[in-house]
Amino acid sequence: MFFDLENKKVGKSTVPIPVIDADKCTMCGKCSENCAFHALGKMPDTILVYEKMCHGCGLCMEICPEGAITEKEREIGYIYSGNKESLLFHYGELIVGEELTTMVISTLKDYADKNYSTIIIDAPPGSSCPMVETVAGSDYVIIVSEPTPFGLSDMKTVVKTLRILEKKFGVIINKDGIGNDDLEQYCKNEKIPILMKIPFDFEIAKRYSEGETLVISFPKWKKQFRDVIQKIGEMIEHE
Amino acid sequence: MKIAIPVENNDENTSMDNRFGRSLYYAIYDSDKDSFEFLQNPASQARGGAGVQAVEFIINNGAKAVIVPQLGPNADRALKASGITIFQGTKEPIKKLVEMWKSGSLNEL
Repeated sequence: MFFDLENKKVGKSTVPIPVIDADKCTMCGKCSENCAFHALGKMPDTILVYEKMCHGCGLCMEICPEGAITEKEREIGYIYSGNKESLLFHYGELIVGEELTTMVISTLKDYADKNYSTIIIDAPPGSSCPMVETVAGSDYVIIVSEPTPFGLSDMKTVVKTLRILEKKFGVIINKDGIGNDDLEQYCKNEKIPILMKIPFDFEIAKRYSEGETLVISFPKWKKQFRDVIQKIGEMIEHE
Repeated sequence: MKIAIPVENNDENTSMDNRFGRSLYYAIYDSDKDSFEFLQNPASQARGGAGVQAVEFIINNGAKAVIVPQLGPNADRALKASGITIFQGTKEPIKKLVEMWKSGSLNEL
């Protein structure tokens, strides 16, 4: 919405779900016993498939001793795309009622044009599976946080997760000035680079609420963002 | 015949739990012996799919009927496919529910 683009549907995201051939199935129950998501239920004379609970891992098909399981694709979301000048933009949308965010993110990443020198992927907030899927394969992660006890607490779990994933990362402090300096102190102690601070500012909030990005409203920020991208580039190359 | 009821505690004075798939225990009433057996529900803490696992567990333990509270859609589908008889219960002591079943005053779903 901030870029004023005409987005078109360019693809769909699907998850492979099992189809059981009742003629070949001997009701051994191996598939249901081993399904990590409990998407299969062994009843006395049938195996039930709970399509919405299936994560599409394919294990059941792999381990079925009778080869009675095949897969079919189930649509769970769509990919949209638009472009403007040098900007190529994609976004994913989960169909209402679906839960497998990670699948859509994974499909979305396939649409990233590797010819672009910088690809920015916006992750959902938090440190759960959608964030992990988003940062997988990234060279660098920018954490955007607010300097409040709440922001710091959430950021700590993100930092912990990124360290497990062995990712390089830095922090942009948003709404700088609203809370206290605990977050900054934490970054210092943990040797996490602070890439930028965006002040808690009435004018910025006002322009944002009108649907304008920071850089368009206040061109002086353009250089700051450029510098951040350049700095990150250097940090990546240094390794 | 064995009848399963989701329950809160593992003693005969307990009442039906209003959660079918995530109850802590199942009371299995054996009408031939007129006695209760209590089994811990392995799915009570499951992250997802508790209802389906619960139905598998109940079947594996020989129940031919269940007395249940409000069911979720997954458990409902599994129970219907299982072919076992489903009776609608309310949050009452299990002894009372069994008496109601014996007198035929429970509604079959």
